[in-house]
Amino acid sequence: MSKNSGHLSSFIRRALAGAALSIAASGSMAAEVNVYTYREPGLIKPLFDKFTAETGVKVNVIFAKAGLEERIQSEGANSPADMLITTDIANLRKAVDLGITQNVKSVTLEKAVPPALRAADGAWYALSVRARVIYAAKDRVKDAALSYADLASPRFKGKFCVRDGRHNYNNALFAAAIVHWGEAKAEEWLKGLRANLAKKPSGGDRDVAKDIASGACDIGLGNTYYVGLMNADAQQKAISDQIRVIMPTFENGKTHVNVSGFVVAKHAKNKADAVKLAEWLVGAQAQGMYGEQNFEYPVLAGAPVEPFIKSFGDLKADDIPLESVAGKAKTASEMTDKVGFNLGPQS
Amino acid sequence: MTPRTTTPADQAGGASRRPRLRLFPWITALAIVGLVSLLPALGFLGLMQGGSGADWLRFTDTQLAAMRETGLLLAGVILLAGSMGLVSAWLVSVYEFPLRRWLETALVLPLAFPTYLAAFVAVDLLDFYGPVQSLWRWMIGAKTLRDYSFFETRSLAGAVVVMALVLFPYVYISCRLVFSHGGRNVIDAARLLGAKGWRLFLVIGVPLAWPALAAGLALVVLEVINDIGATQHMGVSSFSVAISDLWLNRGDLPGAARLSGMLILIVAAALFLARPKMRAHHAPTRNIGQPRRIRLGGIGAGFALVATAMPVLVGFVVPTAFLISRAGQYAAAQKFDPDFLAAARSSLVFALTVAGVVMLLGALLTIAIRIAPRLSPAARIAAIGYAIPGTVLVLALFPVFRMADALLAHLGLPLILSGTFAAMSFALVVRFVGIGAGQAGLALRRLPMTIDWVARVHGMKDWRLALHVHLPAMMPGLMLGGTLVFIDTVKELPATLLLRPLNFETLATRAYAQASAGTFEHAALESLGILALSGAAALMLTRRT
Repeated sequence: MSKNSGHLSSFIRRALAGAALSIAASGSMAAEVNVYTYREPGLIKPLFDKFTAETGVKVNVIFAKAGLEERIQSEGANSPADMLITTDIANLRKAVDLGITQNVKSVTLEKAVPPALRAADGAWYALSVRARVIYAAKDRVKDAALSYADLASPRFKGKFCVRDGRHNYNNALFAAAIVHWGEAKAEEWLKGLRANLAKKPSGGDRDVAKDIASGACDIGLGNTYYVGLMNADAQQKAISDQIRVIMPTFENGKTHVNVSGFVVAKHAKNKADAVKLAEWLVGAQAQGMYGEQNFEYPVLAGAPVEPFIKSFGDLKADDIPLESVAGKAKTASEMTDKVGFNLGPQS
Repeated sequence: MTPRTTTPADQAGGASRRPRLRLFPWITALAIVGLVSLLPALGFLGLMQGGSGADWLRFTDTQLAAMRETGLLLAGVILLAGSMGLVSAWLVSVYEFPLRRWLETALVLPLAFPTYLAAFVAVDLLDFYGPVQSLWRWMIGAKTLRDYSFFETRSLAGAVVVMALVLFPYVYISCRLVFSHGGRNVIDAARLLGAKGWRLFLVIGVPLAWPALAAGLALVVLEVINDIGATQHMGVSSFSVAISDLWLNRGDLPGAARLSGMLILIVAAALFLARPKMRAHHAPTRNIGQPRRIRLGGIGAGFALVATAMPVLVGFVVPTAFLISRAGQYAAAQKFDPDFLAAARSSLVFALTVAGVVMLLGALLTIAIRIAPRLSPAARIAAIGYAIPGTVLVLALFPVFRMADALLAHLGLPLILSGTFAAMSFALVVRFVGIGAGQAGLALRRLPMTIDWVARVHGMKDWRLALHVHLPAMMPGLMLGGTLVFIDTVKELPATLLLRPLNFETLATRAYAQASAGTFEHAALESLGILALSGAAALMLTRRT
């Protein structure tokens, strides 16, 4: 069958299956695994394609931005979802708290993923790591090292840019600050950050890099991999060239990290293949791909860090339990509201 | 049945046949309203239960600021989109000037842009690295933003302009319909009596268009309120963003549902208060011959040309050209992805399905109301789905799907609704059925009731009346509604994204996936596909009306 007619027939099949309702008790013929994910297809599809090529297990995907946990919950025992692959510890925690997951015991996973990056009971495992770091203008910020606390220092007044404070990348960082410093000090810090804003929080991390390169601000917060992605993009390299990445630290000398990870669905029909996919994703080859394509840090100890990302310096990942960060997500969100972070620099 | 004034219909039908006659409309209307309004509304009420009850009426400063910001955004968009739509509709309907015929059609095109896409394009076009500022820097010899200042696109003002530019066609379409059809005679009469220029516009045009203006603006308002993608990208702390913060960061779905319930109430109240008195303006009018437009020359023609061409240029031509150049840049670097064609087909089939079902339900509901006028609130109730923000609507529908699955299992059928094309289409039908029913209703209202009475006197049965008289009479409205729904479905995101079956990709979901990764320019081709599908529909729409 030619490739094109394959597309057409699969489309017709889908349309037919959909035009009526879907048959619930379809015993799956070929090996497959159904993944619900918050990770953009462009980042994760190459990994799935490689996995399918090597194992013959087909990966079916839906990507969404929010609400997949609620969908799995609503689908109940009928849910086709075998696993949820998501970014952000708070999302992993939410899935577990909603009772839509099951614990996974796997020697391969336990050997590959360090204990700090997985739930003790096997409810979730991390697949990759990213750090939230400082983007600084190469020509205007000369500091060799800066801490998270330094970002609130008055010397950066009117020079700091960041995306919406309620975005989960920021919310997790603010939650980590609460875990480290307690609420009172974290709130002071957040007020300081707000006072330093050059403009209203907006755009994405790439826009922060653009704002710095264009001179709208000198310093900002962003995830590590965006700098890698921009550097690899011919149209955006000119922007990332003007950015220097500084690994900021808390008092313990370590940098805030978050993860992408997975849970296996409670009613997974293809649990064995889901675990197989997960084990493959923490294997040396896939972990290398996370670095080469997505510019993320591997979870697998000893797996190489992508050279450009490595040039930022060695990552000393914060070792406070990620679950405690997830536990402060709500407080962090309320605090962001309270200090009026998103209202921008002027009150 | 309670006694009421007799109409010729009663006399013709006779008392003994009345119960059978009235059964069809009641059952039809109740079934439709129950399915598309009451079920979702119950699901929505269910969402609000639980959580921390204390949050009901206590707003944080940021939420209050979000309300203010949403209010300012709405006010700005209403003013700008309202005046752009009204003025352009007036100019192309009443005057003759160069390129008028072409512009009359082209003015609907900006509607093809989904708001989030327009926001991404605007930011890319106007930010520091975009062509506009690059050119400006080259002209003034500046290097960084510290050497000069420039309009900040990611701002409230930026969001107002972007939204107004792609939403004003809602106003344009409904106002043009009045100026060139229903209200034609009034305008001609006023002209015969010597009214012209601004006076003709302000004294005749504006009051004449008022109901259409309000109807168009209602659609604009609901689109603005439903938006998250554009506003968040442009740094507007809108109410929708506050709602999603409550749900996602604080795990307080009931609180988020209550907050959006508040929003819906406020909007519903505002729309109700601004609701035009339809009857006075809907006296049936007969058009005599072709409209005779006032020929403009010199400055007048220049003004009309600029005023109607600018929205098309800025709202469609420039951003589309930008997307094409982006698609070219990336197409050269990448090989063509065959999944693009599958996604285009999916978008087409999906939008046709939703539009078809909406037209069918809209037609049935409208006919039911025509036969039993006491059912007329049903049309407004059916519009509930459009007022609920997309994501919240999906969350409200989850329990409905769950119940349907349980029912199917209980009946011993090996079927499920959750996660299917049917479920996804149902959600969009719920969201858009009000548009279909509304437009069909407006069209049918132009047909005098006397026609029904005459038909009944001659012994025409209800179903024949519906098929041979009502259906043809409301066809223009039905087609207009269906086309709007088609366009909205091609562009729709939150419900499509969250409800689609595994591996089901539309142009919108593919474009959004890239945008969400911060690389929307890689999806320039998908964006152009969206524009082509909805643009083609928009063009058909003006051809018909």
